Amino acid sequence: MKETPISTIERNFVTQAVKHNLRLDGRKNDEFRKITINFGADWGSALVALGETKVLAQVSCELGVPKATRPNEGIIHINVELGQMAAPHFESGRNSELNVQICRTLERTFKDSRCVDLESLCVTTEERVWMLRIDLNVLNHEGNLIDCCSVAALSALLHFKRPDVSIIDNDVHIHSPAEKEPIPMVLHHYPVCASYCLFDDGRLAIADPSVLEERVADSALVFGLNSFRELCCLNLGGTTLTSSNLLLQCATRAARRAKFVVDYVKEVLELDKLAREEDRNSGFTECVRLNKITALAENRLSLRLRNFKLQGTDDLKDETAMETSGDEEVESEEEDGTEKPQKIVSIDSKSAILESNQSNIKWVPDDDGVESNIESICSENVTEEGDESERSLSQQIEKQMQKHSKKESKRALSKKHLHDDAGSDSEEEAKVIL
Amino acid sequence: MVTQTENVSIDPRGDFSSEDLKLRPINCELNPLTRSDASALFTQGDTCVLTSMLGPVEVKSQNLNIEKAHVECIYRPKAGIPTIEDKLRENVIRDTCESALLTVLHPRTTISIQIQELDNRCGIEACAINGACLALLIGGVPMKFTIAAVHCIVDKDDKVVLDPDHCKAIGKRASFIFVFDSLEKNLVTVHTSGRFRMAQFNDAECMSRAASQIIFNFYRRIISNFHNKSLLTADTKVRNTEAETVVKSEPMDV
Amino acid sequence: MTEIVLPGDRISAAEELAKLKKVILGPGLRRENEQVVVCKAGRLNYKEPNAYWIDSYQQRYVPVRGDAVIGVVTAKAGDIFRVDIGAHEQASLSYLAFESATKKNRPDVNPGDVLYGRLIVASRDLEPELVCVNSIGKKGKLGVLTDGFVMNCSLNLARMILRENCPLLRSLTKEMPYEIAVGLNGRIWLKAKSLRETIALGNAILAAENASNEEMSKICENIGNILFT
Repeated sequence: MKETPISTIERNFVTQAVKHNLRLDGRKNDEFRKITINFGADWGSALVALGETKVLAQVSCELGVPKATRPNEGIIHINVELGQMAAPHFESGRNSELNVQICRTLERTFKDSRCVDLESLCVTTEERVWMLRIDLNVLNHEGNLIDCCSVAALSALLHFKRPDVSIIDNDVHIHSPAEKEPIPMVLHHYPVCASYCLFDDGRLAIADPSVLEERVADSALVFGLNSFRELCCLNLGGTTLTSSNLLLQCATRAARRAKFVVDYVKEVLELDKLAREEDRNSGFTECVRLNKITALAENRLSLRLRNFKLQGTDDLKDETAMETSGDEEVESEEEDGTEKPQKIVSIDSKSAILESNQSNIKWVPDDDGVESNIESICSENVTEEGDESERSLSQQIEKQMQKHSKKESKRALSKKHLHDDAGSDSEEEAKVIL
Repeated sequence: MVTQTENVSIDPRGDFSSEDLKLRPINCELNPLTRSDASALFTQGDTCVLTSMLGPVEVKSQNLNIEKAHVECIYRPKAGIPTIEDKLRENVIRDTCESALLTVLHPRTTISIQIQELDNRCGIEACAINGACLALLIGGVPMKFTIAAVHCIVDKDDKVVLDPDHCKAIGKRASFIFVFDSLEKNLVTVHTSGRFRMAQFNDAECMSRAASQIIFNFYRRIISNFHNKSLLTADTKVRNTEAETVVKSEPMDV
Repeated sequence: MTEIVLPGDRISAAEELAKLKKVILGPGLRRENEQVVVCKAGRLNYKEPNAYWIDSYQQRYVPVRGDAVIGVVTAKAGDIFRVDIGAHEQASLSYLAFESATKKNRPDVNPGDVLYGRLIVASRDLEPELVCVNSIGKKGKLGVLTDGFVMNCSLNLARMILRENCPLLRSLTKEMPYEIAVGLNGRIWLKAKSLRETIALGNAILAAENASNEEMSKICENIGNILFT
């Protein structure tokens, strides 16, 4: 099945709205959708919802032979499945461009950043190691699959426990969970992705894009970050080049977001652990019964004003109030996190304008002229916030950018040599990713 | 795999107490997904599946049928690539659903059913068929009747157990899946594995037939909830409380 | 009548009535010999004197002749445009099916344009065909839609908005001026004075999906309050 074509008027409407600081679902430009995590009955299974985007992750393991180059390390394999359930135009079993892109981004975030202690997965050197497989089944595609997949992969990895083994006469014996307590995974750091979409020739960035925004945007920007504000992966796809100022801005916010998400994952894991210790029922069935995995009609509205409440002011159901009360806390926490250095200066009918404490840093740079004094801004940034990691982050990004540009120029050269009928943009993008 | 029999006579002995006719608690949420035409999150005991459907949609040229709609089913296991067993499940579910659908009304189209396993704690096939039926019901594709699947085993003590949970199924000798239609409670599908005696099969079938009423009642309740029109129930309408898991009347006195 | 029926149920009332006079069976009902059988889950409706039909929930559009639908032009192929209307097949639209279009004077329609058309051919065995003129060659309200926004909704919502007794659009007019085109294929085109008002309009319409008539006016009022305070 073909994807529903996007009409010119939808395209215009979204770009116009974004320029007016207006998003169709009533979010602010830098606001992410609510994230919820539920764990299944088995170890290493997690259902993560980012707004209406839903991903199911399951980690599994089996014994295998290690690579000859790394004889004492386990192997991780990440598989992303985009089936018809996620969106009608996806086809299961076929590697689409999007599939490869998500897979590669996740591999860079999780494998290349070496967050999993692979040596702990070794059973006997050069003979047997654990081979981990992370299966990500996308259930519903409402935009920003990468973020959702990364959180799902992280939660599943943290939730997973592999069976214990013992070696008797050179024979590996795998113990069942009843015999020996399974062993949790060892992770050095917890990376997640945060995505932005760029509009208006790269002058404007919006966080956590919806499907429509993703399709209309000029380019997409994905950060893979861990909770220590360390960059694991940076991906720039699309046509426009970003001003480095905006890039740094996004990175700073993405780092905050990553911290928030990782904290949330830890919190939910703790709750799950507690529930299991008390021998309460766990698993998706329990979540359904407690109405944890729910499609609230109010959250369904694809077009939405900022303050809109479906049930007016009076007859808000107790149940919903109860359900959300816990999450609201979390949300407010997030807001605190993201908006600490800012204050809301004015709220007019159209939007609240956020202004930074740092006078010359704006979320949306006015013109490209700002670019010339990035350096000064960076340094100011550091002095004002007094945060050493901020500086390291910007350096990391610059490094990545340099790498990126080098790669690009190399690619351009090689391409010239190879083909004159250079392929379409999409092809190009795929190459960057690979 | 799929057998269609008519007027299977009900075992006249019919002396099961209501204790025997107990299904695990059933729970369901309708339309948890937004991109598919209809979806259902169906749980039975600790077994949980997510089903979604699309249709009638564009058909691939190799599947084009000018007489009726092409029905396809995709079963996704939680981990790893689909195995032969999963392919077998796919076929059972597809054939079962196809017999309930009025495919002649939409020639040259596809009706596609997707099943995602969430938690497998015994009886996943039955759960998947029930979930698929609910998804098809709210997807608005024309159907001849509704279908209800019941899982049954012969346990290690040679006893027939209806809808067992994970623990009871350890060391089972045989397992059955019976699917009934809502009209005359005729058999639509029987899928068996393992060794059993004919008498056990008959017992299992009778118990399952009686228990299928629980599922049909559940369908009616949840669909009624779904079509209720009020904001107060807007959020609850997609969800449902647990089904009555026991047949109250004595349905065996037929 | 507010009975909820499931596929396989028999409508005995209709069978009884059929013995006396002709009975019209609408969507979701089928005749099998002398029986009237339900084939879709939903609410059974009856209209005097003799019409029965079922209001079922549906997302996927199945073309019906005479329906006004909103489509997106996907391609120009010689003399026809291909239009995506959300059904299993793309509809075709002749370039002559516009007001005062001739072989010389071609209408200005490009891929990506949204248009409001009427289905003139819709049969299960044929490719659906759209026109943008009425029977006397005038365009009426059909044609290319410019500006505004198109949103998707369930087929029920689209049908409900168009029902005569539906108070939604009337209550919305009290709040703001707007233009709307409702396609029976579950697409709604909206245009208001500002972007924000357009979003508000869409918000109100989508929120009305599960609302009763009284609740609808409340939603509209609520939207107005948010919008202008």
